[in-house]
Amino acid sequence: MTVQEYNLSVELYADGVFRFMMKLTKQDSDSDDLLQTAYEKLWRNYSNVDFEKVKSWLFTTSYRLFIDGKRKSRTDYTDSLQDTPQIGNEDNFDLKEVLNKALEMIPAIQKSCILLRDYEGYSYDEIGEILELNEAQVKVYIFRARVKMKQILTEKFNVTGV
Amino acid sequence: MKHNNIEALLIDYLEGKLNPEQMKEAESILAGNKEYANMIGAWSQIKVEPDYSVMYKHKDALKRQNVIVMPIWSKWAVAATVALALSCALWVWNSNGIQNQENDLASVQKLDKTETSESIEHQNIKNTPSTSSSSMLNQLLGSNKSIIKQESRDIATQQASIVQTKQWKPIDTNSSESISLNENKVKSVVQSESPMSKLSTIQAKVDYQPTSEQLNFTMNQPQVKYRSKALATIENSLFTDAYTGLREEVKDKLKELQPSQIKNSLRNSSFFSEFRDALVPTSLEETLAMNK
Repeated sequence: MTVQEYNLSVELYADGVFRFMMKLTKQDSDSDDLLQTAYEKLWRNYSNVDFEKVKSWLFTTSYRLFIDGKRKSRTDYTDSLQDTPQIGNEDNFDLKEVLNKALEMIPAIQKSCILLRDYEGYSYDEIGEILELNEAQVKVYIFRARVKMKQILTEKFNVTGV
Repeated sequence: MKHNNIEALLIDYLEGKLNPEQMKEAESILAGNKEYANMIGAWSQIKVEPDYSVMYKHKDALKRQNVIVMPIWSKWAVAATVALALSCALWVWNSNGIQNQENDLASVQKLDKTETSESIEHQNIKNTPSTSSSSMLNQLLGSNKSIIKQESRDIATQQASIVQTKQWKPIDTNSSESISLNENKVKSVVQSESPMSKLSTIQAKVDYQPTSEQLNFTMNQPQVKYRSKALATIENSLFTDAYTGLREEVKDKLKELQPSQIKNSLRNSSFFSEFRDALVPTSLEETLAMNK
């Protein structure tokens, strides 16, 4: 990868990685730090990274940085149900907002699978590479994540018809 | 079928990736399980969409200029190169210092030699002394004796320090060929029969300077500059000792000569005129007084 391609990767993928990190950390500053660290690592190794794989490289690196940060802070990153958002008047939420709220209430690993699938359109094996899972595990996590989100929509937000 | 396998199978069913046999299996599962069937029905609705309003605002800070990034190993390489260059510079500087010291000594000798020639010329001495090394040495031992001694002491101190720190071991100099050679030559001079031949032989022997090879001096590490410095130190020391010993023996021999023989020697010998400063008035007068 050249310097120009590195700069192009900033232009093309920084927003996507930032949104991914925002969904995982729920903190603007944390997401900023993780993104900068990921690109700093990329800059140090840009000559060894193929531009065609740089998007996957960025998501993989930023996700690992997120996991390392969580481990250091001794937080159970797999159970973000502890961070259940406060739900107010459920009837006022449209489906998109409710889905995002439900997404915040599922485990981080399931959320990561859903985000990479729905946000970025990665295939199951690509998601497996990024999250260090096999393809079958990714499918199971995605299936269970949607089941859980449907359950949340029905039980907590009284959304019918899903 | 296990739950994990069912969930993965249903995902593939939704993706349309099953073969006919797997498709039948999936349909039979959905027909027998209402929850799975409801989930598959709502599948298309349970999808999140990215919020494109969320954007990273500091992209420019992440972008880089086209600069050369040095890998970590190359930084070590640069550091090693700098250290090597400094070492070389230090070595050259040190070598120049030693060379300059040697050159200084050589220039002092040259200057003394010139001055000796000029002064002798002004004195209109019939038998003009040659500009041999005996004259040069005589002058050195006379006017610059203290300087040479001091310098010799400094060099000897440095050489001792070098030998100590670098663990250089000069071979036993007492058994070296050069010293025994000098001693033998002095003895041969003293034991020769004719006074004139003695004096001429002495002059020839005083001209003698031991070479590096004769000194038979070796060191564990072949540092050429240090080696030459150490050799120069030993050469100076041996040469000085040889001259001093020779002069003393000449004094003793003169005591045995008849006054007429000494007078003839003084008139005819250019060598003796060079030794005159060293021997007259003390040794010669004493000798004449004794012979009277």
